[in-house]
Order: sequence, then structure tokens, then C-alpha cells
Amino acid sequence: MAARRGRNGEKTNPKAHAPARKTARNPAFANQKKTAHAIKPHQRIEMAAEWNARAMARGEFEKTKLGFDRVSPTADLPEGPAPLISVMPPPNPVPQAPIGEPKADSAKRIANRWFAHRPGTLQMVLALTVMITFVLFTYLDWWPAVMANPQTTQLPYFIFRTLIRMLLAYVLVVAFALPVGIIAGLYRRPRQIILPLLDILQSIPVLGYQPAAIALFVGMLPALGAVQFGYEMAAIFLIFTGMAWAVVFSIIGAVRNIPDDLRMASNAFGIRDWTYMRHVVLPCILPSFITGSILAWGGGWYFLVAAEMITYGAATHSLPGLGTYLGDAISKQGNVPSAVFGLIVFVALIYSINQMVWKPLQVWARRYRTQTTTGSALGEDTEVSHSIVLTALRNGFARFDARATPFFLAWWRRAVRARRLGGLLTHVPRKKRHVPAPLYRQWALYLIFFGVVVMGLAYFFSAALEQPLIGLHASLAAHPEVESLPTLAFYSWLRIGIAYILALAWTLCAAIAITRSKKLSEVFFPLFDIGQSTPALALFPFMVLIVIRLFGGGGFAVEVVSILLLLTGMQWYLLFNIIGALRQMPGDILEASRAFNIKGWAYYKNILLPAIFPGILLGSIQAWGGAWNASIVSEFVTFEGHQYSVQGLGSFLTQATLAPSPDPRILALAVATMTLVVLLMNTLVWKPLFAYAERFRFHLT
Amino acid sequence: MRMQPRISTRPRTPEVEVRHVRREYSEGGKSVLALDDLSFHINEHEFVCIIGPSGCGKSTLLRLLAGLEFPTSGSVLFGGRPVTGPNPKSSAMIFQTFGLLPWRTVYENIELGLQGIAMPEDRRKDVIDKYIKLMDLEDFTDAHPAELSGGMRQRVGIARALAVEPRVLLMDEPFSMLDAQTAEALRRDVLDIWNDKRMKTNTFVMVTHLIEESVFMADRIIVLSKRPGRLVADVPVDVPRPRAEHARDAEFFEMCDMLKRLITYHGGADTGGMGKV
Repeated sequence: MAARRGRNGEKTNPKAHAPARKTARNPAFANQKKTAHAIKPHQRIEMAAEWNARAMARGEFEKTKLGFDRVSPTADLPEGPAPLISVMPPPNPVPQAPIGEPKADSAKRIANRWFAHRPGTLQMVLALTVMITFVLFTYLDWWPAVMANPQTTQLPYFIFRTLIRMLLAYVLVVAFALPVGIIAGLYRRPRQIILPLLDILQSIPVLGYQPAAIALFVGMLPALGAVQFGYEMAAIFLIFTGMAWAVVFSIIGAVRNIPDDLRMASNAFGIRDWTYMRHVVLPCILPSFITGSILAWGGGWYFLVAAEMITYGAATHSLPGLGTYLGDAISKQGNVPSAVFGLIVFVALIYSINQMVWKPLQVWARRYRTQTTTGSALGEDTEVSHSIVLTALRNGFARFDARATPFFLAWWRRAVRARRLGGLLTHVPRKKRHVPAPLYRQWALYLIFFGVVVMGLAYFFSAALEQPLIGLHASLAAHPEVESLPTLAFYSWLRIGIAYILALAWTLCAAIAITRSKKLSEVFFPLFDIGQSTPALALFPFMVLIVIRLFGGGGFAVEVVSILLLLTGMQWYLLFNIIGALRQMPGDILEASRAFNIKGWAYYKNILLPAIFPGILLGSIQAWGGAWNASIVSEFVTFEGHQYSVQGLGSFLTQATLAPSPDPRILALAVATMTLVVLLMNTLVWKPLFAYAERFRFHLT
Repeated sequence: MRMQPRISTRPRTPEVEVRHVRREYSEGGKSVLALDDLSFHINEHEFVCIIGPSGCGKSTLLRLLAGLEFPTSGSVLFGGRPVTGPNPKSSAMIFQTFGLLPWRTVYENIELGLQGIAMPEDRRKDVIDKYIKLMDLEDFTDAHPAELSGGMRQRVGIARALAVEPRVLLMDEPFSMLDAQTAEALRRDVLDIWNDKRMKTNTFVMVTHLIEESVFMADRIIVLSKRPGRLVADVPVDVPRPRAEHARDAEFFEMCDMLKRLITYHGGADTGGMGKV
């Protein structure tokens, strides 16, 4: 240190003014030089080791298994009045239940697990079904009738064709719904346009699309020389319209619900464009996408019979498929045993697909859940918490996957790099609150889209029926019953309302009973699963048969039939939504209600029903949507040559379609009326209720 | 001012008695023992904290006290009588995640407790207003839980539990979901309520995983071992009250250190080489 010169020029000692040190220096470092860089790193380590060794020699430290020093537990208990301590010796390690998944399995272990699994799963149900079918049919001597149906031998081929059809429709749905849903979810302007359009499109009854589909594909494709293919495409289009809306709305909802912190973190780390899409958006929407797909396939199965037996005017064209087998057996042949056989095969097929495809997918998608719910005390999701199929697949395909994945990944990466989405997704959009368009713009959009869609449908109707498009006046004069359309709409609405109340009553009781008791749940859940897999449309003829045998053919019986048919179309939506809502109730609310002695009716009124209200509402919206579709087929039924019908919009539509020379303008009017009623219900009832239901949601902190 | 610990010296029936309680969960073939042969008692006017490593069964024990669960063997007695179910007049509970109904206002949430004990409606308003004032919630009487901060929500939970005027107040990690400052304020408020001679509820039992919190609040600390939970220690806390003034004393930290070592020794996260001793 250079000597400094003070004010008067004399040398000063800087250290003279330094205060005395308060703490003593560490004697271990006493011999070291004052400047830090004089001590080399290895010398520091030696010094520290020496210091530690001295401390250990004093008995103050001890070494743990990992080599860390720790204060011994028996050192320095506090002085003073001895506390009442009973210090136990450490207990012997208690064998704990194994945590986590067991290791990779030998074949024996997989087999053990298959057999150790409780009854009610896929293999038991299928085995039981096969046995019961065999026994029943032999007892009733139905086999000859089944074999008499010429189509029975072609059943495997029919199943194959049906599956291909559904699969193609689903692929189209995904190709349509993913881009549209993601864009509508991310960007506000497109959303303001897409949502009204989708709203209108989904309000149109699916069977209202049928003539349009036929016109489009059959009418136009002969020019390309492929008539059969045209019908096939029409069927696929119909299934598409039955599936698409569930998927696209679930995607939009999921994209809007991407957690904010995930979005901001992605932006902060420079994850944008396609990388963001692939690594953040797609995984986040996966669970909702799968749930939407399950709903969509349910909708697709529902319309299978109508889609494969394409009827318009007097002509019917049947495509090879399971729906045709069923419809043919019932309406054309009147072959009840064959129809029952077909139904059993149908339900078994749907149930198997549910268990082998959708359940494993749901289990796999759980890892992508972004919502963490507080623990629910009303029973875990036992039926999706594990899936033997998934476990078996995982283990079996693990080796294949390890070899194949790098290959596929490389291909994918190359494909992605070659085709960036040209600047469309150039940044991670900021998530703003959904500001709906100003009211006038919404109204304008709805009006324009409504007009366009109806005109489009009318155009296709007229193309299909080979009749001119214009000439509304003449049509109205020729068909005076058009005046009663509003009244008919009201009757249909009333019928659906009655069916809704009945469905809600029984599903509420059933759902509450099931979630309270584990035993009931284990028994009834598979039954409800099968019930949901059964497309109600396929059951219609049997229900008509039973009711008419019971009540005769009078007007009352037909009303009962149609309400029953509506009920079967609505109840599963309600049931599974209510069960889902019950399962998601937070555990602390349930404990609090028990701890504060809230029981009986007070518990239902104050705690349970408000908590599941959003679930009931969602189920109701889906149920009513399904009911309008069901009303078209349930209000006018042809059975054993007789026609049974009630007064309603659906029956009007069906009769207009089946008339010898259908009038496209009347058809368009009827479809437009039904669409309008659905839209009105959406706007006046469901949307306000949805806003009201916000207060019942559990916001998880 | 130095306040004496309020431990009654007269021999009387303990307020809460736990006798050889054992709690086992059996699902399918597997059974898990949560609590093994636990016995202790809690006297009137005591503030008792139950601590232990995570998973040791503290919350299970609290639910046994509340009557929400029942022991596989052994008994839980309140004032000498066995517990047959949740009884709000005996014990009311405050939850870690608050347990408030989102569609009810603060006033109506507190009313929930009074609905449970079937208090006639004309009397409810006075009681609810009294406890709203006690917990400083007057400005938020008509707010919904979604509009409140975490600390306010827990105040509502506390008010709801106190409004039924139970003999014992049970708290399940009541401050663990709150930020540090709110938790500190609430701890002081809870101690003030406990000290308040006008309140009928003066026996408090709290489950916590924070050792400092237990030494701050309790007269006695019950330490459980790791699963299956057994009684490791039943320690009176000799730090004088008010604890806020003595929270920096050597006694306080010695007590904390000792408890820390006890918990580590009997099955905390890092047993390391300890098990061998």
C-alpha cells in the first residue's frame, strides 16, 4: 500500500483511524497473508478440512451417511425445568405399500393382472354378452330367423365398412376442427365471425343436412362418373356434421383455457409459431379434444342408421354397413330376431371401441391436464384412473416405440421445417378477455349467416329434388299447412320439455345415488356405459313395438313413444355431466358440510345442488341439442307398415321429406324454423343461464 | 406484561381425551396404518399444537377429533363422552383450503354454521354480526369469497367456526395457504381470541407443519412420528406469553431446535444415518 500524503504533506497511516475489530480472527487462518489471491483453492480446501477435523475432534459434529455434518441429536438439550419428553427409540421400519408403478412386466404378471381385475370390464362384459346372446337365442329359437337374413353372413364386412366410414368422417372432422378451433381460440376477430357461424351450423338438425348432402355429392359426382362413391360421400358428410361441432367447440374452449403462466413463459423463452403450437397448444388441448371426440363419436353412432340408409322422396339407397343391417332388418324385413342380433353386435362394437380406444386415450391424456382440482372426496375417477389395455399396450409397444420414434421424429421435423405456416402464426397472441363484438355487429352476423346457410340449404334441396329454387309463393299456396309451423314448433318444444324434466329427475337421483355408494357405482357404471353406447336411434323400433303393444295404437301411445324416444336421446348427456360435476366437488366443502352438521334436504338445497348446477346446465344444453335431432325421427315412425306420428316440427319435416314429390322450399322453411327455435333457446335461455352459473363455479386458488 | 399459561391446575375431566386410538385404512387387500396407539388428553383452556413430519397422520388425527372419521380401535372422548359423529357444539373445524361456498356471501357463509345447529332465524343476525365485527369483516359482509383475499377468506372460516360457539376449536393448517404477513396477523388474532375471557371457545387444537408457528401459538406441543403416527413427545412450551414479545428469545429458538431434532430423528425427510443410532 502506498503511503498517502495528508493535508499538510506528512505521511499518514490509513490504518490509524480504523476501529478495532469486534470479532476475533479465526486462528486457523492466522498464518495466512491478508490478500485473498495469495491462498490457492487447494489450500483453502485443506484448511477447511483441517478446521472440520478439529471440530469433529471436539465432538460437536458427526457425519451423516452422505458425508454432511450435522448436529448430534443428543447434544445440548435446553437447561431449566426438564420438559415432559418421552423420546422414543426409532421404530423398526414398517414395510410400506409400494409407491409408484411396478416395474416392467413379464407375461405372467400381465396375465395375473388381467385375471385379477375386478369384473365389469371389457372382457367380462363381452364374454357375458356372448354367453347371454347364445343362450337366449337358442332358447327362443331365433337362429333360423337370423340366418334367414341374407345380410347376416356379410356382417363382418358391414362392420368393416361402417368403421371405415366413421373413421374417414372423423379424420375430416379433425382436419376441419383443429385449424378452425385453434384460430378461433387464439384470435379475437376470427372468433367473432366463427362463433356465430358455428352456432347456426350446429343448430341445424343433422338430418336437415341430408338432402343437401345428397344433392352435393350424388348430384354433382355423376359428372365424375362415380355414383356409388357419391352416396358414400353423402353418408360420410352426414356423419361429419353429426361429429364436428362437439369437437370444434371443445377445442375452442380448451385453447381459451390455456393457463396464462404457461403462455407467458413460452413467450418469454422465445417459443413461438409452430413450436408453440406443437409443444404448448396441442398438448394443452389434448384432454378436451379427446372428451370432445368421445362425444362426437357418440353423435356419429347415433345417426348411423339414418346416414347409411339414405332416404329422400320415395327412393332409398342403402350403403353396406351396420346401420343398413339394422334398418333393413326392421323396416324392410320385419325380422325382429335379426334386428336384435344386429343391435347386440352394434352395442358390443361401440362398447369395445369405448374401452379399447377411448378409455386408454383418456388415461393417457391425464398427464396433459392443466387444471389441478382440489381433491374430491366423492370418489375418484376409478373407471379412467387405470386401463389394462393401456398398460398392456405401453409395455408391449415400449420396445417398438424406442426404435420407431427417432425415425418418425426426424421425418416430422423435416416436414415442419419445410412448411412453416407462412407468417400466420407469428407470435404468441396476448390473451385478452373475450370481448364480444358490438351488439349490432353480432345481430348482423347472425342474420347474414342465417340467411346464407338457409339459402344454401334451399339451393341444395332443390338440386337434390330437381326442382326449381324460386317460386316460394306457389309453394306456400300449395302447402297451406306451413302456417302451422310456429304452433308445431311449440308442440315439439313442449314435448322436449316434458322429456327433459323426466330425464333430469331420474338422472339426478341416479347420479347422486351412484356417487354416494362405491358398490352401486361398480355395478351401475358399466351398465350406464353400455346404455350410453347404445345409439337410441337403433332402439326406436323396439321401443315403438313395446309401447304400441302395451298402449295400443292410439294418439296417447304415440305421444308416449315419442317422449320416450326423446328421453333416451337426452339422458346420457345429463347423467354423465352430473356425475362429472359431483366428482369434482372440492373435498373441503364436503367436509365442512359434514362438520357443521348440514344434512338431509338442507344439504341438497344449500350445498349439493348449487355446486353441480354448472354441470347440470352443460348437460342440459347438450341434451336439448340432441333432443331436437331426435325429434325429427321420434315424431314420425314407420313400423310394420303403419305410420305413427304426432303433431310437431320433426314430424312435419320427416313427412315433407318422405312425400312423393318433396318441395325444396317447404323443406328449407321447416329446417329454418327448427334452426330458429334452437337459436332462440340458445340466446334467451342457455346463454343467460350460463352467465348466471358463473357464481357457482369453484375458483381454485 | 407477562401472562401465565392458562393451564388449569385442578384435576378435572379433560376436555378431549384420546385413548389408544388406532386408525387403519384398508382398501382391497392392502391396509395402511395411519395412527398407532395414540393416547393423550387436552384440558380446558389449553392451546395444543400437533406437529410431525408430513404424512404422519396429523390431519387424520384432527378428523378423528372432529368426528369426521372413526378410529379402528380405541376411543375419542369429549368431556367424558365418546364421539359418535361430527357435533358442531363440541368441536368446530377450520380448514386449510377455507371450505367456503362460492355462491354465498360472507354473511351467508357464516350463517351456514348456524343452520347446522338449527338456530332460530331471528337470533342469527345478532350472532353473525357479532362475529363479523370480531373478525374485522364489516366492510365485506355482502362480498363473495371470489372477491376476497386468502386472509379474508380464512377470517370468514374462523368466524363461521366461532359462531356456533363450540367447546373446542380444531384447526387444520389454517395459515398454510396464506402469505407470511397475513398469516402472522391472523396468528395474533387467533391468540387474542383464545385469550378473550368473553369467548366460550377456549380450547384450541391446531395442526401445523411449521415448528416456529407451533412454538408461537401453543401451550403444549404434541409431536407425532412418521407413519404410522405414534406419540413421540408431549412437550409443554415454557416460553412466556405474550409470545410476540418473546419470539426472539433464546428459549424460543432452543425449543424450535429441539423440536426440529425430534422430528428429524423420528422420521423426517432426511434420516440419513440417524436410523442406525
